Amino acid sequence: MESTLSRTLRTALDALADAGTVVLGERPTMEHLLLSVFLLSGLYMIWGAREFSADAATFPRVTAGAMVVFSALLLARNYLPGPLRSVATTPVQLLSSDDTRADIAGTADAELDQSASRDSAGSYTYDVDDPCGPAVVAGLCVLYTGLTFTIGMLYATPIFVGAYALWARLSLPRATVLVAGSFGIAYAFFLAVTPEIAVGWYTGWRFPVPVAPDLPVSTLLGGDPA
Amino acid sequence: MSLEAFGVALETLFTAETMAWVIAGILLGIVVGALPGLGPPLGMAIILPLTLPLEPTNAIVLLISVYSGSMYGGSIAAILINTPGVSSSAATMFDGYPMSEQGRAATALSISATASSIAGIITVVTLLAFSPFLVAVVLAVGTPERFLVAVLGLAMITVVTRGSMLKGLLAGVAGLAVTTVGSAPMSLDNRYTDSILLYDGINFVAVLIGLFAIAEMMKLAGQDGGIADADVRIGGGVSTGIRETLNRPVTVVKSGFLGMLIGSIPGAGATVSNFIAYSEAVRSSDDPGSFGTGNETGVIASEASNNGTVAGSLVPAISFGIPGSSSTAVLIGGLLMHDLRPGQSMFDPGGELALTYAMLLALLIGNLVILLVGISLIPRLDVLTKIDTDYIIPVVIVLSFLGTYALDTNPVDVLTLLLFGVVGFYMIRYNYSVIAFVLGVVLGDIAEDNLFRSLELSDGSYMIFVDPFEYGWLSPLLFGLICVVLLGPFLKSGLERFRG
Repeated sequence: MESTLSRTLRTALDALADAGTVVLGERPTMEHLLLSVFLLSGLYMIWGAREFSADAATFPRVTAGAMVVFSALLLARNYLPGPLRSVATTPVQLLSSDDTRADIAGTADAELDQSASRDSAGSYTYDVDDPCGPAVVAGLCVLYTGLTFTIGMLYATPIFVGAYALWARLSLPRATVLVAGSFGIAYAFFLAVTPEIAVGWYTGWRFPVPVAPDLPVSTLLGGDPA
Repeated sequence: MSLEAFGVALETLFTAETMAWVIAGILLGIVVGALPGLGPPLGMAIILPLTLPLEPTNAIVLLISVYSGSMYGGSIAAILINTPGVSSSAATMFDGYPMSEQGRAATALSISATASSIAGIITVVTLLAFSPFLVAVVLAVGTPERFLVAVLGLAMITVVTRGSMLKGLLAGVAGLAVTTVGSAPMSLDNRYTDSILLYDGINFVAVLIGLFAIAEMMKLAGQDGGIADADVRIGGGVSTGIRETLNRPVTVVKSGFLGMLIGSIPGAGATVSNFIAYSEAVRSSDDPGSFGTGNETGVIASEASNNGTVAGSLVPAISFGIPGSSSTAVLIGGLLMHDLRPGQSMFDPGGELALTYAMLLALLIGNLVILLVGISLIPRLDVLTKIDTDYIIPVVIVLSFLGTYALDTNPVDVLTLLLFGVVGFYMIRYNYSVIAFVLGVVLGDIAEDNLFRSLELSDGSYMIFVDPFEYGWLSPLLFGLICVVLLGPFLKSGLERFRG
């Protein structure tokens, strides 16, 4: 049974999406949010550049100005005249793996689509099988960051991994190994690289840490012994 | 060639410590490349903060070895489970997996190791042979030309993308805009520094790790598959694979050089060269119908090309700071992190030329290590295809967070990592070129610095970029090239429409 609150929320979101469709000429997606972030960041940077000297303001103004123009064009792509619209929407390339894909006989498109081009400069897209996955990982990363700022990264690490193991429904022995391993990694960092990770940066809280063995740990990574 | 610098490079490289980093990098690269969903940029990005305590030479040698090793590693998953560990091994699947199904997985894997190694060695030797010419070109380039080369690199990437040009341009300028935070390079102005923690600007290494590690892990969490469910049986003969490769020298050499050529084009990368080399092998074959059914030549062409790309992509990267691929973008990040600036200093015998030679020699030795390791580990390589992503994701994120915080112990870096991880995920999702964005981040300071100096030279006149009579011909030539690159695709399509 759907609660009144969730019904109201869904209605509000639908109304917002409908309004967005009217404004944008298409159903709003996270891409529009991304473009809005670029647009607002560009406007803020142009506005902020007022306070800089002429020499220091030129480059930020040019880049932020271009950011504003390009993101505005992409947001308004459904209302652009023909040639300008094709610039905004048509894939244009001099060289891409796509060009050669067509030449390879007997290759299934679906198979080729799996080869998202990470190591070419060509941007690539991918299908998300489970939209919940990226959202959960992002949410857990936010939690990890929050804990880092409050209790410190040393103890935030096993909590984050434990939360992930819980979401991924790992068996208890596997989850335990993973959590213990992650704490081991964090502890190695604490000893060898950054003892500051035991402190919450924002709160200054410092929890007790296991006794550090008396090792010249900086040599682990090839540096000079401390 | 500066023999003195070359001698210093040899002396530096052939120490137990540096050789250990080469081998460690190759092994790590093979593992990272073989795990579907990871890949060289991610592996290199995670390692980047860990190289801080290392000598610059060892750090760069480690990074480049990871890059080289992962190019081979990608073929393991492609051959054994029909999933490319890295996108640059996509074409390897077409014939590698059928060979595996026919019980010839060991043959396919040894073909991959041999072709990768031979092509890698040939292309690096070629690069070393041409290095004096490259040195002359780089040293001849002045301030305005350096600015224009940066713009040209950005322009090329926007037209090599699979999305719209406008999206590529937006990604590029957004990357440039990121670099305007912090102290201005030519004045004492602090820009957009609402907090003292931002005085040094946004840490580009944190940006790289966010884009290549956090965004990739978000992506991986939303994808099914990529892990071998069933037992993979590795049959066939290792020596047969070596013999098959050596019997096709033309394919190895041609594909390797194709990879090198395409890799040297900013943004084209190993994925493009991989497909082009494969289709060229199909085109020039007497029996094109046999491709896709387990033809050894297909595996050779694909694997020779992607390792050839490594040497090629270093040309724009170390000459002008323009990454030819995501991996070289991270490599440039490593150079900058260790106070090494791509460009003239990397080719100056009194500067970092010895390091440049050491880098190339490390690649050369790394390719030999690939051959030895690849062939000796073939019976055990299936283990790498069975690692569950549920272990990979949290471990990679933990390493990313810890490594990022270790950079400067600056909490802003952690926020940067998180922000650009999420932004990167959606950029990739909606076809905005991440590499154009990274290029902007890497090139921002260089571009602004050179723009400012150029305008100082010309008393504020932008004619310095286009006037051949007063300022020389190279700048106008580069400016013309930028126009051609940006307008070329439209002129081409207009011409096609005109012809009907």
